[in-house]
Amino acid sequence: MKLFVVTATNLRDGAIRWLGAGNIWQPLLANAQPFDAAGIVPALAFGAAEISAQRVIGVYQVEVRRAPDGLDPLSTRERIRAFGPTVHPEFSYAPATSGLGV
Amino acid sequence: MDTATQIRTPSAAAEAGIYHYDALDHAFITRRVEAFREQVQRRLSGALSEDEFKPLRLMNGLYLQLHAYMLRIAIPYGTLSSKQMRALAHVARKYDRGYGHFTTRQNIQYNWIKLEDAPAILADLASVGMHAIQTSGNCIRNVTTDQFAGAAADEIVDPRVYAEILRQWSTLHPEFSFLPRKFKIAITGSGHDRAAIAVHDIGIRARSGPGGAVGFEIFVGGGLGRSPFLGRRLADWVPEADLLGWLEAVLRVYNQYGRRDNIYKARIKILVHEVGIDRLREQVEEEFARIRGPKYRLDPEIVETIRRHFAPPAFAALPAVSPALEQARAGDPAFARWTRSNLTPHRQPGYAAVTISLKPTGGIPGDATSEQMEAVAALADRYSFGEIRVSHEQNLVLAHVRQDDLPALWRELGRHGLDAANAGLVGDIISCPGLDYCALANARSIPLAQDISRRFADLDLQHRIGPLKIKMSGCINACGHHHVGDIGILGVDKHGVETYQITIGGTATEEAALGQVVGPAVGYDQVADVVEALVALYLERRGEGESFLQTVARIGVRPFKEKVYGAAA
Ligand code: SF4
Repeated sequence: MKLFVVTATNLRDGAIRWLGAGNIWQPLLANAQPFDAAGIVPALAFGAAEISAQRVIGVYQVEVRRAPDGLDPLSTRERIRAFGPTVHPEFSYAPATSGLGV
Repeated sequence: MDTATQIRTPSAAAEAGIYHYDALDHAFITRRVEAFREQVQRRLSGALSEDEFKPLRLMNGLYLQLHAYMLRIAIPYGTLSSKQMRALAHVARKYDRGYGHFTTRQNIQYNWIKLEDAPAILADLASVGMHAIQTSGNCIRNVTTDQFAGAAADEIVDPRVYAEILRQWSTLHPEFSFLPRKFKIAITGSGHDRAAIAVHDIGIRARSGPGGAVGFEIFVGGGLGRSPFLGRRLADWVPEADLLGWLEAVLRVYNQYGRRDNIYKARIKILVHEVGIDRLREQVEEEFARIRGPKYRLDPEIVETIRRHFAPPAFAALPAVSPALEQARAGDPAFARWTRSNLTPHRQPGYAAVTISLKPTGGIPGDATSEQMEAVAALADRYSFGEIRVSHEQNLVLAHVRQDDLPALWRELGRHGLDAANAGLVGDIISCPGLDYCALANARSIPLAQDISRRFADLDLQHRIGPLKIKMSGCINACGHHHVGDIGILGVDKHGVETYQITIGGTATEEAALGQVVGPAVGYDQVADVVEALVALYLERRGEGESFLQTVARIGVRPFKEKVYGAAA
């Protein structure tokens, strides 16, 4: 079964956000709520409403898998976005799970 | 507005080679900051939607990247004062994470900016005459030039004078604010092109004619990206008085005929390719004939006044060779090595232009910390008339250093991790931010640059290899100029996996050439091995004094391909 999370960018500071349980935006992927293909539809609709409310921008879905350390995006781009730039370990959002050869 | 009112003369004399804004400029950029402050407030309050706000933020250099907002600040023709450099350090420390990234367009970018801070940052920068105007959008971008302008021994005409005139002409030019696509102009005044004019929308070579008259050779339609082209010669000799009229004519023709229907075909290089250089020349000449007259004539008095602002600093009368320098070279091999790679001959006896490499082994190309920026500002004050240059190769330059002072300068650079003896060598890698920061990227470039630079950490090896430029881009937009590297590396996305296409034999000098693909794209983990193999083959096969490019030209790409992919390639 494919798994997805919803991500966005916080309007005020440009920081990455993940939609967590109870429709609360979270700063870390680890706290994101995973959805299946049916569940992602209302989650994206909530994201669209949040754009209209001028709280976030750029809402979209990211495909993830469950890894031993937690949720893990499938694409390299989304892994870098989720875990931080690979060239500054001190800027990492979650170094233990990055696995990008930092 | 005619040229006489469009181009204003400077009001203040100050540091060497710095054009100082006058009261009108200051008032304008301050008003612009206040307008943006109000726009940000309206965005944060919800009065403006993102669709409405996006063009406004881009007009002020504010992009949204992978992790945060990114702010790009203009450094006109890569020249700034020590005071401005301190302001850049302040922004990095107060509003970013202590770093700035110097780019291939001689600008600086900050990667971790908050939208709510952007107006305050621009206000701080406006206080030292800096801004972010025209660092984004389909307008004429920062005019770039030779980082050794006004200093190089081989210079014929000082290009800064004309770069400044072009800056004033192009800033908020009402007709050219919504071009079909962005537009980049580079100008050089030396026989040896260090400004990469062949890969710009317009490339200008300033020359000296009979009686010392200045004129310009103009190239058009160069550019990298998805469809790389080298510029074609549009004019052999445009007299100084007609420079703006000619450029105005080129931009008008482009504005009218450039393709607005397809973003991938909208640059002037495609127009040149589609209509041909001869037809384009006819159109430009027709337009120039139509507009020719006092309105676009560059007044020699204005040129002279601006030229005075770039007058040489108060050089001391010194012997051509410094005994102190020679003695230090003889006594310290590490210093001697640095002087071999990081000095450029100066037109003034007893002086040298110094390249401060921002490419330490394993470092991020073009990055400088706040502390390093402040250190460079202090060293510029002490040793180089308070002036600093940014090169398109993502290094800094102190253009006018007494040879006697070089040993002390080198020691101080070393204290700040700025003494890498690799300018122009294999460790001096150009790299765009790539997938670690850039929202458009296909693949990472910075960590590969770090990896390659670690493979060549031995500086003696780098010096044995000699001049060799590696250029790397994280996507086909080619911000890292990979097409014109001795070795070019392009990040490609293959079903979500980072792969890299390698080219060899490119150069952006006066012998400009686009690199040729060596073979199929390789994986992330193979890139450094491939680069090592290419360099090893060059060392095996090069003739006496032969450059990498000359070796590629002589033996062809095939031996390099076989070295990388095996004899069956
Ligand atoms: S070349 Fe591509 S990845 Fe690199 S900075 Fe430019 S747009 Fe971004």
